[in-house]
Amino acid sequence: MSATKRRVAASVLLQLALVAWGGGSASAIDDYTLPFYNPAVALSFGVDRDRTVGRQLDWTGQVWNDGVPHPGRVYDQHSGVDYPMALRSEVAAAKDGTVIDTEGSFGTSQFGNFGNFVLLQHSDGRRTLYYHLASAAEGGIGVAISDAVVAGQRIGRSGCSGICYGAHLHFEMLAWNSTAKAYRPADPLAERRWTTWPGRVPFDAAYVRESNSGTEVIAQWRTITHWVEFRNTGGRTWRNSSTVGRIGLGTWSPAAHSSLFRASDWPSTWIATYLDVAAVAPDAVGRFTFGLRGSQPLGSYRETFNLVAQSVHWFDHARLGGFYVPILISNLPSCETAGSAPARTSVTGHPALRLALAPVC
Amino acid sequence: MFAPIAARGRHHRPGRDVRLAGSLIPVTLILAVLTAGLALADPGPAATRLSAADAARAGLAIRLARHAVRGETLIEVLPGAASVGPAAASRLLAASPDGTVAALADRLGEPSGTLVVAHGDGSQLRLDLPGLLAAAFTADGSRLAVIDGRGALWQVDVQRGDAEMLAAGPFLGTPIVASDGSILLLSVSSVEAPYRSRLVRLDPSSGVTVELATDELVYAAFPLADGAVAFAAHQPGRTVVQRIPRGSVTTELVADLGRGAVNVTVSGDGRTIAYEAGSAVFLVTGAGAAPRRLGPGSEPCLAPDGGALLVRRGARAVLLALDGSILAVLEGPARFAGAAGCPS
Repeated sequence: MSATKRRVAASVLLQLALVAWGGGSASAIDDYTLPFYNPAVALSFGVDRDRTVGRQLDWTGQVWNDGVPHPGRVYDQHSGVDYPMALRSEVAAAKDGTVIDTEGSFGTSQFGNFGNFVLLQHSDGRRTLYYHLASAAEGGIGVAISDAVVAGQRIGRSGCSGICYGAHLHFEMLAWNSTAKAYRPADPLAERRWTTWPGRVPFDAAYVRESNSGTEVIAQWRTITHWVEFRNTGGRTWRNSSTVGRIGLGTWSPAAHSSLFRASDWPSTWIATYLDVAAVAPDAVGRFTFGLRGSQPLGSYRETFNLVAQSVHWFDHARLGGFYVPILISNLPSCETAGSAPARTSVTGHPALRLALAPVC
Repeated sequence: MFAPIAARGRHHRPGRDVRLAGSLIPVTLILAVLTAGLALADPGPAATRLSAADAARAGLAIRLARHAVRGETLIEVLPGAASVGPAAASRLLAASPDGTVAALADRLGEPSGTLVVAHGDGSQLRLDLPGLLAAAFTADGSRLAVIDGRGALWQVDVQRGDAEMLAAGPFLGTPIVASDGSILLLSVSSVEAPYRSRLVRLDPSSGVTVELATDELVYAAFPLADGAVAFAAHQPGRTVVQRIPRGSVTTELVADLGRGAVNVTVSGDGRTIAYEAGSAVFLVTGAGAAPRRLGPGSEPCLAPDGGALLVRRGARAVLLALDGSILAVLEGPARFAGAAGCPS
């Protein structure tokens, strides 16, 4: 078996073990999310909760007296949680907070005693540290001191600055220790700080279904209603009540372009709609309902959409199934203009399987 | 306070003489047993001593070259001759004040590493430690203060190879052994991700550390000829150089280097500062002087008298005059004898 296959197999086994051990999200505290967007990123080493040199207590509660690194678990004296990722991968705030310090002057892969970082202060009194970041010149530092950040906001890009052997993010959670009168490392894994075990990236979604998974035939100058549902597979509850982080359906490819099919119910030229309901928790399904107006010349079109946490971050469009709506502008009366209930094509499954069918009224 | 280990009699284990080409010569095992019971329970690492001929036969020969540079001595590990270990890119951690001994590492920071004390006569002392990060010689060159890969502080006798852990740390940066035996160190939040780094003075005899400054993130410290200590510290949005006069507990601002200055180095008289910013090296000469760009490079290290500096350009060390002109290009690792505070 190749080393890569062994690693993959080990990773799969670890994930299964995590699910078995975690037993779901019932006991999770649910107030932080993973500090990156790529759900494929996996833990390499967690916090050593035993400060004795040579003895390690990993996040599952297992004690190791051998002092050697245990991939997926811990290495001796490790103060944070390591996530290998490609250089310059996006790094996200794990919780709302304020930037209290940054360093971005070291080279992205410059080996040395110190490296680039962002340090956040959170309202619960804790701090989070994002270390080994890329240089500021290469986008490693995406925030400035005193900036307020929201959970899931991009704050920088990963690197390998400092004492680093392979690009990764060192994420560290710090809790105030009143006895020591200092911040000390906490273990977000052992404390179940991630929203859903074994942890989820802040924003992620899976396509579920839509009102018409085929072509929307729109009579010229008329408006039809379309809805789409996505499952919240990310770590944060979707909301539509606040401005920053409000989950919306925006135009994509290019991002935030003014739509040619904007209906009067659109909040802006590129936001088709926000979440229909007030909140959608992780694992629940949220619907987005919006109008499409046939204001273009007769012909076939396509409008592409992506979910966005407003002013925070776009979702991974590919993971939505590359969501788009095929549109046919017709001079024939559509079902809606004819006043009858629309008979939709009923192709289910992946949006890529849509059929370009005209409505049958 | 930085006393010879033999006088302290704990946690040390004398080195063994090893002849690679022939039979092992059992040497000091009995002595080790007699020396300290503690040594059996918690033995320090054992050193291997190689003669120049043994090192050559084993393909481990290290040749040091001494260059006179404007009154200072520059030590270079000659290329092709250096075979510190499996990693070709060995690191020159420190050169003794008289330029006759060098401390090298086969690799930095990893879970294990070999400290090589290379003498000018070609003999070596090789010592396996739990990783290596930095080392510095005492003023008399007889001992090394070494920080291992976990951030623990050791002292190593450069003749006998006796090694003793002085403090678990974790510490980072190049230690500075003061004339009174105390050691200036950076006490860090962690070795891998040091967002906090306090400048402390360790009394090895008592194990007590005292914080010297309130700065939360000190990047490096430098002993000054007048007994003061200069240090470079990160503050939110800028890097500053400060000074603690001898006998004082207050700090004085020497220079505000602004945003983006890292890998700062300060000359022994405290008047010249060099640093790296944006892949270039800058120089500040005198209080209030504007920084001058000397050209591309990283990790500058000033000569103790501030008259020249070494910078890294790619894989090479380049010796620069203070006007930025190139004095020499060195193919192997190089370091000024007695230079303190420069990165490994």
